[in-house]
Amino acid sequence: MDMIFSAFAEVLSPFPLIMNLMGVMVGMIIGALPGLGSVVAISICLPFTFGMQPLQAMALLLGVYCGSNCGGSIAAVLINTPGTPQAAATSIDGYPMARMGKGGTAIGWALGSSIFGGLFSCAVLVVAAPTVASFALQFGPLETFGLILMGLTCISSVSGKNQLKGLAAGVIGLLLACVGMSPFTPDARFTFGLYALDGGMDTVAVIVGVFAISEVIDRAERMLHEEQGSVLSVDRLKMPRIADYRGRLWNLVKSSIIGTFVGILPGTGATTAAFIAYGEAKRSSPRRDKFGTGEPDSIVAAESANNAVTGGALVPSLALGIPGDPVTAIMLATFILHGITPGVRLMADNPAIVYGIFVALAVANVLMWPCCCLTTRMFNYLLKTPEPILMGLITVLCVLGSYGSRGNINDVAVTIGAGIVAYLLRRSGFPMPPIVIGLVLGQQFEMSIGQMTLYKADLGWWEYISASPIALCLFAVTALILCMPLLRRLRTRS
Amino acid sequence: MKKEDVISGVLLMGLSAVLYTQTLVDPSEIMFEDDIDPMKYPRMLIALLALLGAVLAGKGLRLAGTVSAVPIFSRRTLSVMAVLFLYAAVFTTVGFFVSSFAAAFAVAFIMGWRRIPALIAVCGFSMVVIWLLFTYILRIPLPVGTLF
Repeated sequence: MDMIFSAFAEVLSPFPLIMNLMGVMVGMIIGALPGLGSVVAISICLPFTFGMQPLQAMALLLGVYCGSNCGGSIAAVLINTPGTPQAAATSIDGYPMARMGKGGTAIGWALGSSIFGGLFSCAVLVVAAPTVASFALQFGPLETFGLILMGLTCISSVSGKNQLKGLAAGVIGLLLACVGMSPFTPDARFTFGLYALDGGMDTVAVIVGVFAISEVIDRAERMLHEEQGSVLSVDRLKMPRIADYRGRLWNLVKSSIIGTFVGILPGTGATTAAFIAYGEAKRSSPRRDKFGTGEPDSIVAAESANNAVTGGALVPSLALGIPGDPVTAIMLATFILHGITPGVRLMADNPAIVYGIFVALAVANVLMWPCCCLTTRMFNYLLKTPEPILMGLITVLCVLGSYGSRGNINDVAVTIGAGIVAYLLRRSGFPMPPIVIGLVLGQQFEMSIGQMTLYKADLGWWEYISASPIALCLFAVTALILCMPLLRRLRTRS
Repeated sequence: MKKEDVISGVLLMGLSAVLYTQTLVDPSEIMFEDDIDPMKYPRMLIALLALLGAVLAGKGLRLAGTVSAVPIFSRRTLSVMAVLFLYAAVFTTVGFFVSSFAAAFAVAFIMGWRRIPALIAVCGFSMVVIWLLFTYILRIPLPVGTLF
């Protein structure tokens, strides 16, 4: 409890609070711009965290994470184009409400539900993460290997229909993590004789290139082929009264539970959660026949679920070092950037930071309210911002961000190179998140293999593995996750 | 034949071959019998990448081709890539302000924005704000170069 209070004191001190507030604002703005989404928002902000303390950096990124989730719903309501994929379910009833002149009310429902979902998942995070983490302290190299292997299987779930390409992208990420000095011997690998690469690829530079620069190049041509939605205006945000939640409270709680649980599962994400909750609300709501015509029940379900994912996704990330989705993969990269090793010992070694993250997440959720009230009118203009100008400025911010993280011009070259290669890969159907997951988990994965080899000594592999029931369980779960699509296909066929 | 899959598969195999040549350098002296070969793990990954490339190319040969409405290479995408290259090349020598202003202007112009005075104003104002943000709030020094 003392840790929580001291975390509150630290997060509510001026600089982390300002960072959290800025994060929410920036996240809302970027999240509201169709197509950019949480990952691009966090990629753009990541390099700016370099000069900050770890907690300040995390406060900024958590603000961006929550803000972008909420911002996406504003675009969904006002232009019927979800700013982020997770807000797609919100537009089903949000846009009809906006067309009836109730845009402010629709955003109010979305915001209220987002805040509830976020705070609910935060409470689950506070209870679940320390419990999981204290169990994880029993882990040795073999268990760590099993755990990282399980984390790598989420490459399969973020790859969608392109499993083969997703796997290849994951291997590319693992190879990128090999660039530079070997963790065991003084040998430089894949440097092509360039001393600049001896220290390895800067994770920030790669992430900014892979997500943000490739997006800019992709948009250059794609914007010619896509129609821009017309923007409905909204004067002010209208929050629902407590009485309006009568008959909707169970829907709100149930959707938050769905979102939190889906978030904990590696590789599922907010979009899945929003649609599962929407489907459940449509099945059980007494007003289900009004769905699609401007019924707040569907907004409540979708928004509370998609924002509840934020806390849920942080449970495996903080307790075990497994990124549940691309956003948490980038957050783990932020830890590495600040010299903190993510993994099973994170909570034991850095409890102040972890508890600070719990509090920062809760504060970010609360800050969404004033931020959204302040910026609602601004969104009328923001959503009309010409895309070319926006892309020009994003290009500059990306390059400055990758340069600023170490003050090294080679990182700019890495960003541009990664961006162009990533553009070619994504246009060939390769998913991008596996590259980052491979890159973030790669070094730990190789390290655990090396440690395992040394610890095993003269024992046979089976003798060594069978001595650890935890490792056996982890391998079994990994095998199950990998076989799941196959089993599902067999069941469909039968 | 799904051309993009075949080309991707072949390129992955080519990349694997190039990376494999990088693992052929002599490792530093192995001091103990238990020491780990630093190239063993990367070689395994390279082999996996080559295998995935081969499977991808093989599958691509059997699949029907698809035509995307958005071309991979167009004048716009190539121009944006050229601007990015140039920006990275002159960033430190020319300096932050001029190079960034030119890059933001060029990207917006390539993407079809033609209101030049407005663009100049937006880019100029944004660069000043970014410079102030980096210099005074984030305290990250930006390259000054020959032209600021």
